[in-house]
Amino acid sequence: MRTFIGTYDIADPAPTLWGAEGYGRLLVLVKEHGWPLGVLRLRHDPARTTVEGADLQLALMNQLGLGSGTAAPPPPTGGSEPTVPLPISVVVCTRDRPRSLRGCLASLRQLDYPAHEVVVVDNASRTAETADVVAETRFRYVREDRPGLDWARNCGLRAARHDIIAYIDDDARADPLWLQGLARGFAAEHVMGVTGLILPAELETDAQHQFEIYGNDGMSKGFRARRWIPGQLPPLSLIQVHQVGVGANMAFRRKILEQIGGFDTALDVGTPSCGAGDLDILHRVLLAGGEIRYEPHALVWHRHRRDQAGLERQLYSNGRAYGVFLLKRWHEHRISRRQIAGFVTRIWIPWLLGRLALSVMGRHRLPPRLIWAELWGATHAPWAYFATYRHDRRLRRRFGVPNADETAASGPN
Amino acid sequence: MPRISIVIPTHRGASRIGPTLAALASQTLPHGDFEVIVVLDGPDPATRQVIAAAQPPFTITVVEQDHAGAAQARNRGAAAARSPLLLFLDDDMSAVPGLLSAHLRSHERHPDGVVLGCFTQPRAGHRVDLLADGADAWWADHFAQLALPSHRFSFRDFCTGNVSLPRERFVDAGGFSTEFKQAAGEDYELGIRLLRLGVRFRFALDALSVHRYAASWAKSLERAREEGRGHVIIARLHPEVFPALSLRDAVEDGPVLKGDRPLRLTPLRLAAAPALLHAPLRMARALKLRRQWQKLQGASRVCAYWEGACQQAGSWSALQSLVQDMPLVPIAHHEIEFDLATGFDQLTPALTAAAVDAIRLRYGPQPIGRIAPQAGAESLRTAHVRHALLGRLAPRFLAARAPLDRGRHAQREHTLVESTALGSAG
Repeated sequence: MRTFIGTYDIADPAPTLWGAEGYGRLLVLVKEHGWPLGVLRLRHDPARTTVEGADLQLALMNQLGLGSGTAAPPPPTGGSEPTVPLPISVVVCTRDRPRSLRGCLASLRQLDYPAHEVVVVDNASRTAETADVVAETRFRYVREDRPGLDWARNCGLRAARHDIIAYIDDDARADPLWLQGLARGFAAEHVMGVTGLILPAELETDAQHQFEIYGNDGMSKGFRARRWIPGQLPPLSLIQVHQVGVGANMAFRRKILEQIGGFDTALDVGTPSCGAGDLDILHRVLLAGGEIRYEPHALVWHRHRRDQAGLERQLYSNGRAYGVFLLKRWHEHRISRRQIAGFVTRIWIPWLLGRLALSVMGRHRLPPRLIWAELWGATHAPWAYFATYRHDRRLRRRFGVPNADETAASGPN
Repeated sequence: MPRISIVIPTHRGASRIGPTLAALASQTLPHGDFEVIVVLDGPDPATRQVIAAAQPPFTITVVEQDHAGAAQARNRGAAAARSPLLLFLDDDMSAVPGLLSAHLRSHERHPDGVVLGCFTQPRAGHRVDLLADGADAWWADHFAQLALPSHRFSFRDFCTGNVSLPRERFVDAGGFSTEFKQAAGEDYELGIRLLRLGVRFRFALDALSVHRYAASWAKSLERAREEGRGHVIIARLHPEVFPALSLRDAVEDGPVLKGDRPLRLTPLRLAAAPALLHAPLRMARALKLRRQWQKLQGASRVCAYWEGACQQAGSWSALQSLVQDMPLVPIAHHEIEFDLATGFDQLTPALTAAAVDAIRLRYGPQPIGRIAPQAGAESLRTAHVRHALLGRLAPRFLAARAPLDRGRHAQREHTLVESTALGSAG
């Protein structure tokens, strides 16, 4: 099964989607004047090479409730557009994935935004290919020798020149209006972080489809803008920060990152924690009183893992990283431990077990193996938590960085 | 000066080179118009003796190199060539008398291209040999495809057994890559670079040679292994052709042999497969169970292919991580949209203005269809579009143009498919 991914602008008078031959399904992003409105999911006859306007408009009406042209919602480009564009630094952290990186950088070259720079952080790559790929562009190259995504993110923060730092993954592609979307989120002075919409860049393999099923819509958080205002939040949403955003598409103001001491270098890919750097930073920004907005107009296309083994590893890491994140909160003791324990025992574990039970009974679209992977990862969290901070201390000793340098690292000692 | 230089690499080919030279001696082309360069891959006094004893009536140069593979040998031979045209011929190919004139004729008619020759494999007696039958059928089918005027040539059509090209193009492309040591595929790899330079491929049915080749099971398996290794090298060098390689299966969970359950290729299984399949294969061959034999030999060749690929990449997991960020769909570098209502004769200028990988066809506002990009294939020509319009796109094309045209040219008689209009603009 393959799904063709296309884009359709409702401002286009005679829309035709080309290139869907050989695909059984379509995922069509509906835009209006470049801004995303929603997605359509359609079945497709693989023998046909085109999808025509009439089919698209029918689906538009049925799935998004939008009439053709006449009943279109007001264009999102209101008066909220900032008059002077906020300068943004884009930080791409990468490790030994030169071909993916090349695709990502190609998309960043197409960015439609007046004031921005791109910093590529090479996180301890073993080959020189990454540097070569960056040299093909005019983007800035910085090397971070300490392995770990959060080391790279901090390094990007230091190297960035502007006051807003936008992070994108090396296996993602930015939409040309990505930064404009982020800038809309930052229009209000007190907004400290903005996360954005993530859609699949390709759905060619079963594993990629399963990842879309796994998170309801993969990494997508929907097409409605949302805001998380500290003080008005129930404690639970400080724990469930995975609803706020994903590391593949998030941006922060420099002052909040500096205030809270940057990313926790013990976390995320490249360390025993296997992730959670993004959850941790979103949580700490909210805890420090910074408002975070979700801005669906800031669109990034993410290429999910293609192979089953990779997907299984990914889900295992998700479970493990979430556990590490919760253990860190428990250890920090800044939110009530009862809340955390309640979340784990009443929400998280029952949810995982419930899905597993459904899957074993054949009532879930994911095979038990994949759901088990996440649960199995979660059971490794306590070990991973200690291992990751031990790893971090050793790394700091080896590179001569004092532990107090980044206050974020407040693990068990 | 000779008009064409024939480069024949040989490795311990004393038993093969004799008939090859004899066949060249009976060419219809005057002996003064060609030269033969035999490249000995590794010191080989026996072959030298055979060549000296043959006393061919044409100019023959013998070049010797330390054993470094056929790619290196062909590069040496090309460097020693004096004429503007190169013909690569294998040492087990007997040219029919008209071979050289056929190559020359094709180059005269369409200069600056690659001419792919044709070959057949003669069989002794009437014995049923499943392996040779299979190979014959494959090649016959392959050449039948190439002979179609609408064939879209790709790098996979470039084989070194019987192929000629201007020496200048060979030099421009950089010759054969010598990276393919224990691997097959240096011909494909050169084909990719030639196509990228915009060199046209043509097939000459009359440039015929006879391949004196005895198929053997061991050779066939070794060949599959070499292909597996070669494809890994090609994928590393030219990721854009990846969608056209069988390696694509590694992106998920390995090849699918039957139904949709992938064959999980653990190293143990790969190593055990040829041995396990060997006995049933022999039995099927002895009993002439064609269908069963074909399935079994297909499976063993697939295993051998993946074994080779894993060897080249280092391991199955290394191979899998290598292919994770390869493109899965062919990339269209230049895709155009063409309105057929403006007239089919406008198509050729549109296609020749720039190299076009894919085309979207519409008739007025009505979309007709798309000719998709193909990984590692030549850019689109009018013949490809015509073939698609008369074939799979015909119903939509006719449906789109019927209502418009009926009103506009009511007085003119229209045949259903306007073969005259389509035929003239080639």
